[in-house]
Amino acid sequence: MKVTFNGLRREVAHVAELLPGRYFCGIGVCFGCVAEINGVPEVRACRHPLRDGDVIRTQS
Amino acid sequence: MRVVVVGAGPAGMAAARTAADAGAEVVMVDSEPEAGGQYLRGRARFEHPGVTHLKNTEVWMVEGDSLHLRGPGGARLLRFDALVIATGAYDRPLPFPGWDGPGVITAGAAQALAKQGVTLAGRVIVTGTGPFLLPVATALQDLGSTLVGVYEASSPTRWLREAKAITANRHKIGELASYRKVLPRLETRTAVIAKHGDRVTVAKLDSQWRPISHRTEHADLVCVGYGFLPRTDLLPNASRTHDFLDVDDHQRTSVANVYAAGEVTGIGGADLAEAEGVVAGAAAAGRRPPAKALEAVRRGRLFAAALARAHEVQPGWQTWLHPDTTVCRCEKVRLEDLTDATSMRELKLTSRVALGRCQGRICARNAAELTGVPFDGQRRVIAVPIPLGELAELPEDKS
Ligand SMILES: Cc1cc2nc3c(=O)[nH]c(=O)nc-3n(C[C@H](O)[C@H](O)[C@H](O)COP(=O)(O)OP(=O)(O)OC[C@H]3O[C@@H](n4cnc5c(N)ncnc54)[C@H](O)[C@@H]3O)c2cc1C
Ligand code: FES
Repeated sequence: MKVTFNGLRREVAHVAELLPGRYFCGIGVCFGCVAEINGVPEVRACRHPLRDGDVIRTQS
Repeated sequence: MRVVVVGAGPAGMAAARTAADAGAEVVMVDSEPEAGGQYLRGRARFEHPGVTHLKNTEVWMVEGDSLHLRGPGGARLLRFDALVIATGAYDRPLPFPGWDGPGVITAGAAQALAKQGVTLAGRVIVTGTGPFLLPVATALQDLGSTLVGVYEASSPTRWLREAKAITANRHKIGELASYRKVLPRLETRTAVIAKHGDRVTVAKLDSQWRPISHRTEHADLVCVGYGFLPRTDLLPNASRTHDFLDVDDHQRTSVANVYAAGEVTGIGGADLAEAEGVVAGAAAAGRRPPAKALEAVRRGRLFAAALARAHEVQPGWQTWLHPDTTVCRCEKVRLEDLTDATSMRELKLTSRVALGRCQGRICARNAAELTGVPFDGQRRVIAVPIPLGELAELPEDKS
């Protein structure tokens, strides 16, 4: 999938690759993977099926 | 009468079908896009007359006889006559130096990725306790990862004391045969106790899980799973044992009109979860549960109890941490930041442990054991943090 991550173009198979150290439980429990996805804040990325063109931002 | 089932795993699907067949109007709510739960992961084609399946919908609170839902259509309330909680469980990680850095995920996360055909690394280690480590290791190997090791912290001889549970559940031993490919990589009384970059410290453990010797292995990904913790946050005041919901022989919890089935009540595999679902679904719809399901539950519980004993977490893990090792990932609370508190509440307020986004789901149990304060179960009121705006807009109409 071709996505934009924190302003950079990336090609990844899964959102987990973008979030090392943050993607942890994989099933929506730990909230480590929370990011802004396509303008929606506070999304648990592990529960978001990634699509071409998605824009992902991590807030601090 | 309306029976609402929360969770569409093996337990929830069985409860929904059984309650519908008994004549109830059934709504099954699940946060995932498809039914199946953790075991089947969207591969269950669920459809059943009398059951409405609300997908992508999270239940975040139970209030009296209503559920607060958040789904594609926004927030809403759903009223019930009887409720079945079948929300399953998640992996319990144990902390060690480096567990909060890149290249460490839970065993369940690795399994969830594998079921989507994804592996994150070439060289992987699976570490923890319990038979669930084997399917995870098998899945990673099948996807082409190099399995450096599968480390089981407990000693397999603990199972020798469980003859009764084993004879009642022979099919479980058969399951193990399907993982034989990874058995050559299995080491018992062994655990990952630190990770720095790709350098992983692997220790041999004594019976209390204190390290007695160690070596270095190289791996890009360590998958951790020390058993499971139940997702019980929808019932903050229900009676529980070691955080698993207490149920009677009809799967009734201590809360009126609320039943529980599957791994929220104890860990015993998908077949036990399904049998409990049948019992709960029948009881919730006001029927007598089928004898066959009651018998399957009885046998399965023997196995579940043996599993809990054989793979009980031993206190020696606490010696794996250094003063600056992270305990709470959300709030970056280190071992040395934990205070001398006498209750979980005091511990949270003085050290900020368990006050972050995950609300202690990952760290509270570990923090309680590290400080010796009694673990209070996970008494949270709101199961899913929600943007404040949505709380304000909650519609009042009861459907
Ligand atoms: C990540 C993971 C992977 C696993 N993989 C395997 C495996 O490969 N093989 C194996 O034998 N066992 C596996 N297990 C063990 C497995 O969980 C059980 O054997 C079985 O799935 C338990 O069934 P259940 O119905 O009790 O719960 P689950 O199958 O966990 O189903 C619970 C469902 O409830 C939903 N849910 C939870 N809370 C809410 C809420 N508030 N609102 C809405 N929906 C909610 C969840 O999304 C989930 O779909 C795995 C466990 C985990 C945690
Ligand atoms: S990885 Fe834990 S919530 Fe997404």
